[in-house]
Amino acid sequence: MKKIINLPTLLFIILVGSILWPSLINKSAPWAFLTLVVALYVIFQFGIHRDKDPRARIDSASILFIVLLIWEILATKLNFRNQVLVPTPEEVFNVFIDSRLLMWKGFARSMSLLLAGFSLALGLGITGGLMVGWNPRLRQVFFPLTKALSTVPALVYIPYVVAIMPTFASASIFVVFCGIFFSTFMNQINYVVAIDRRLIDSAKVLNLKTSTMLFKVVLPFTLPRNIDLLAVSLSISFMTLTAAEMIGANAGLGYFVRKFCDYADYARVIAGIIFIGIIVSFLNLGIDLLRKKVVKWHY
Amino acid sequence: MPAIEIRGLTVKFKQDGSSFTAIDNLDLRIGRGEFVCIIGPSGCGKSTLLSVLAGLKEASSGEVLINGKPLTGTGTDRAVVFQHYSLFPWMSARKNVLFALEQVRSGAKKELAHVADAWLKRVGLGSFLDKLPAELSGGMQQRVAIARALALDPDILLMDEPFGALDAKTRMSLQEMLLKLWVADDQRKTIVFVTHDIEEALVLADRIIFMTPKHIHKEIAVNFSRPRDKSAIFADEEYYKMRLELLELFDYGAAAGAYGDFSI
Repeated sequence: MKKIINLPTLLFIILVGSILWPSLINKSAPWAFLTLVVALYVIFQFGIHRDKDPRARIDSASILFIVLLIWEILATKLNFRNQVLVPTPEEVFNVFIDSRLLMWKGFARSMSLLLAGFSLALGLGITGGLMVGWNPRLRQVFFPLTKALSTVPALVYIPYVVAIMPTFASASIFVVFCGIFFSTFMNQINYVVAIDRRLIDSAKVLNLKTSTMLFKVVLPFTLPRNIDLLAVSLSISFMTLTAAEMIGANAGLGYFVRKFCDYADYARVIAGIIFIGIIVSFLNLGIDLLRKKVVKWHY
Repeated sequence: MPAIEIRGLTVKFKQDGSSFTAIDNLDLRIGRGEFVCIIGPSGCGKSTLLSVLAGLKEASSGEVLINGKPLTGTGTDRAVVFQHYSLFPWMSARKNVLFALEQVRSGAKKELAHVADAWLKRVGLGSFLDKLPAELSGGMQQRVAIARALALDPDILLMDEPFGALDAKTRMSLQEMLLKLWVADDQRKTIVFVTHDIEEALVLADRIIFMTPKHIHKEIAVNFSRPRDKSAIFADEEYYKMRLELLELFDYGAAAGAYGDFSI
């Protein structure tokens, strides 16, 4: 018979019991936290990755529940914490309800800036790299130039860019752009240079126009590698964006975290951090799906 | 007027300041509708010669005329089948043929797709139209490459060891297919076929050109009747004579050190 009580289930039951158990301290409403725990349990038990090794699912669920359990017990049962710096899980997850409007507004704002900078950098980096990589003369000029420019981390520009750009939006788009343009551009040049000559010869004998050669042969060839790079670019751009928002914004996710840090409202700070983590994870999931859809071929 | 006329062709490669001569003052005429196999040891310049004919490499000196006109780069009068990477791995078999057709022919996409499908059926891939190259065997990939080259309807078909990477059985069936398609054409294409396989050359060619490094060493006419019947060829004494002659040419060159570092 299949084992019904596995470790995550056991931990789940203890965790739910602990949340519902009357607390020593004045506890905020447990419902948001409880909903999250139940949702996590349902996802792990019945949801994703049913086909994969079940031990991986059980192990990661166990670790997650143990962390939550330790946090819950230390904070609400033993009260073993700094009252200001460490909020209870109930307080943190209530933020997702109380401040949901502000969070989603921040989300929309951050995503629009991210999308603008991200697509600009990818578009210019990939097509620019395509052309520069294809043309030896352009390559000899731009490759060393970009290499030199790219050595400065984009984070360093932020204060100055925020100061000189007319709006914060343009400043953060610029910073996100700088964060990933150089690596995208240089990698694309390298991908183009590394194309197998035999493939190029096969294309050349079909009498292609240069534009057809670039966009129908070389570009598709470099696409899988660019998608591989996408996940890294995404985290870098999120990093630069939130950093910029912490310095000069009046909206957005980075701003949300910094503002409540100033007010010493650490429940909101932690909630903001978790929210950002969830968003990045979902974006990465999207990239994985994209990869599966686009890259059906491989050498 | 010959389909291909080469006069005094010299091809040099420059690398790190030093220059290497791959072909030296070579003359060759290939008639319209002739099937010529170029054979020779590795490094003899046979693939370089084909690259020049394809328009992928430039002659250092000398003259190449295609249908009487000086050769300038690649052209729609020639189609090429390579040994490797002939197909674009992100395109299905049909898309590979269609893509090539779109570059040389105008016409509705639907019409061109019909042409592509018809050619893929002729090479026996009617039920593999939507497969990616990676989903096809090596032999099937070369079938697609041949279908693509023939769909373009060139005057001259250039083939650079197209069956060199295939197993013996697949190679034989592809040789037969190529001959069948070639003979079926009322305006037979001129074919220049580079190979290092003596048997393949004898079965396919009207004329075999044996190259030693930089030069044409010997030309051998192959007069088996067409359409070729393999069992009849293998029963013919002439076949073994020519085979022995070619083997000796390979051997003699190696013994004389004519192939430089390539002899073992």
